[in-house]
Amino acid sequence: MEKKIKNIFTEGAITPVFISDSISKHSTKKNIGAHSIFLGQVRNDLIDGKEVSAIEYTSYTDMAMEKMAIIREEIFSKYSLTCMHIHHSLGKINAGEICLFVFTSSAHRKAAIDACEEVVERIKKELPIWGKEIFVDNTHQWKVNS
Amino acid sequence: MNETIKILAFGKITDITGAVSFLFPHCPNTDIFKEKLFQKYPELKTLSFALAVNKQMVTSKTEIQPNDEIVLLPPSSGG
Repeated sequence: MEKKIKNIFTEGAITPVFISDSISKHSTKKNIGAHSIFLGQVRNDLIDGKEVSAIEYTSYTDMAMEKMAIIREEIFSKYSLTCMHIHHSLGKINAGEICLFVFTSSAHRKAAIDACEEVVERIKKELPIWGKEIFVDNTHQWKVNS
Repeated sequence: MNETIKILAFGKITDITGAVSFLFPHCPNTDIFKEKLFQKYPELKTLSFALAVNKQMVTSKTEIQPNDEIVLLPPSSGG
């Protein structure tokens, strides 16, 4: 069976309204007992005296979505999840805005919490996405994940 | 006209190449391609990056056909 590859990318920031709508949609799934949510927010780091005002994200989207589909399958086979939703921003996201939303649900808390943590780590490490840190004076440097 | 290959660059690489997408003279394999790329953009030698040919990650010397797509992937920094 050919699986449809989900688009994880959103142009611009992920809004609190989108996140709350996403939570609301799960009220009909009454076998769920636990949700775990990770939200990544753009931080105004101070680098050599210059403040980061935004991060501009680009991705090799075809490869990122193929890789995410593999990660999704591995996470579902490892943890007993009801569902998992991933949203990553593309384009310029200002400091203070949300750029990553990972949402896992399960019957009991451990699976949701552990899966959420693992998937965040794998997104940061494995997906071909690049963040360009834009400073207040419009110069930039490329973000390096720790 | 001479045969070409399509190059896609990402992240820090684009600061050096100036363009995200450009054409490059065809090279028979990835070793020769890297050599020619470094001749044109010597600063790339200081960066670590991976190559993909037609979306397949390159782990050893790989043949390149005219019109193939080569992607230059520096270490990712999403999230």
